[in-house]
Amino acid sequence: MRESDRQRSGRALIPVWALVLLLAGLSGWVGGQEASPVPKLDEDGEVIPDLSNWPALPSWSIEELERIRSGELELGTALFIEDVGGVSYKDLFEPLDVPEDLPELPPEEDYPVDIGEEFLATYFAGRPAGYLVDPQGMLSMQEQQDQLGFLEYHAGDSEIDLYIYLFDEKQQVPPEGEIEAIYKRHFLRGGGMSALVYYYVGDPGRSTMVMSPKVYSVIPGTAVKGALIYAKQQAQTKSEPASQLESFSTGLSIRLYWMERELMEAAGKGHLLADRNEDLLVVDAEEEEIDVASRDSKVMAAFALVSVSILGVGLWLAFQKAQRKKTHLFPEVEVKPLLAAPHAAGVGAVIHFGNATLPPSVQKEQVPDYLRKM
Amino acid sequence: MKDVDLLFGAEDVRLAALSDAAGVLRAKERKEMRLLMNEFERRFPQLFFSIYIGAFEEVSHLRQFGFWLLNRGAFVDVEVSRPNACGILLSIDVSGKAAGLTYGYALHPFLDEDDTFGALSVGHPHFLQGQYFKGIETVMHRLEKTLIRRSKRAKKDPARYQEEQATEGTGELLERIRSRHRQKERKL
Repeated sequence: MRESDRQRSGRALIPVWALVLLLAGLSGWVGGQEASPVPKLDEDGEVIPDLSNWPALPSWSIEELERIRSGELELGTALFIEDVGGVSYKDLFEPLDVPEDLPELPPEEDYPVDIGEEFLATYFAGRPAGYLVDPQGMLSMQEQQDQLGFLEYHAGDSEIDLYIYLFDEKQQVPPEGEIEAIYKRHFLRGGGMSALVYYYVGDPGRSTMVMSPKVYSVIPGTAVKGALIYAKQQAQTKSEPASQLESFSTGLSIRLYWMERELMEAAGKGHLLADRNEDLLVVDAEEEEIDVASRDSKVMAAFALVSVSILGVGLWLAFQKAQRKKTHLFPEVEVKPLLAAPHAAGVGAVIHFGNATLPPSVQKEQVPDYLRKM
Repeated sequence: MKDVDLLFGAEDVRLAALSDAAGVLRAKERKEMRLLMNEFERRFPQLFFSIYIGAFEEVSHLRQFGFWLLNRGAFVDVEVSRPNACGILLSIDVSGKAAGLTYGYALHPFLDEDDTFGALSVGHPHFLQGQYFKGIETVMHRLEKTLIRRSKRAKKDPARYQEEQATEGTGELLERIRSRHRQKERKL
């Protein structure tokens, strides 16, 4: 064989060798894969953990078992020992850093109760442009928009507009901002009806409300107060101040709707009634407890009355029963026999019942026949 | 007494304290009535209450019949300790539509004609409607109340009744009764 032929045959074997080497590598890789443990699965397809590498379970000697049974040796107490194997847990865990700049809350008595002078004009100078008055920014912008949107929706749907002034939880309204005066000054004019509410963010129980005198021509003051109390109760179902206000205004809007319906029914043909010549009635939601107390006292009084009545009836029945058990005796009086009768002289009454139209006195025998005969 | 003996008989008659000769009471009503009579006897240990319901036709005889029956009747279901002098007899004539009350000597100081008339009057509406049981029950209750009052009064002042009887003779008693009748006649 010539040299060139050997070289040609050698080049031709190169792919063969490469294929052999590739197959050998693949088989080695597959063999390596087969050597790794295959996880076992249970009936539900869950992987059963391999516990072969876990530490062996503890074992005790007979003496130790006796001590465990007698309670002398308690298992697991080593977990609560600060130093385990000479290493303190303080060395294992680093204590958390205490933040130094904690915000200091003002004491309750120092909580701001006055409304800043810069806000007074916005609150009380004139009739507000919107249904929500929040110059102090009690609500976030988004919350303000949401609340205002709801009040505008209510105003578009109801004849009783609802204005809500927002104050802080403990703020006091100055004398010039009293709700009654503000209503008279800015809301009483015009033919429309409106409800003005002073709402204290975070404390809906302090809310006060005043309404158009027209409303009181049909709706009693107790119902108006009930509406405010209902709204307050709705607010108190929530914990977050903005949610409280939302529930408050929703509840009040519902009640105002029902008031409006009553007003329309009373007016007959959709015309609302004339103003009542009375002062404005300011209602608040805080007197509910007084109402509850008076209601409770009424219930207690009724309960006491019923109890006393039952006791009285019981005593009367017992008295009657005792009376019926009593026996009554007559003294023996000697009576001479009359009309030769051994036991009775027959002095008794006779009555007739033949005629239903005559009273018994007319149907009474006036002169006994037997006496005449005797 | 002889006159009524001629009318109804001179012999004693045996009968029950509750005699419904007219048959106007139902069996259940008779039982209840007997219980009421027992209760009466319990409350008044010296007395008894008897009822005779018959059909006499002759109304004018009812008073005489009551007088005669309380003197001649031997009530078989009444204790011996309660003589007829301590009895009260309610006689009802369902034909003549009349009812009468008679009582023995023991009750003479404590009852009078007005008391018995008052008792019969409260039962009058029931008798009118033929509700004899209800009528008798009402009469009994009214009479019980009267007797209780009189018993209490006698307990407080027993001498008063003794003196009244001692000073009152038979003639005076009859005179008093007749004069009362005459007075009422004049009023009408």
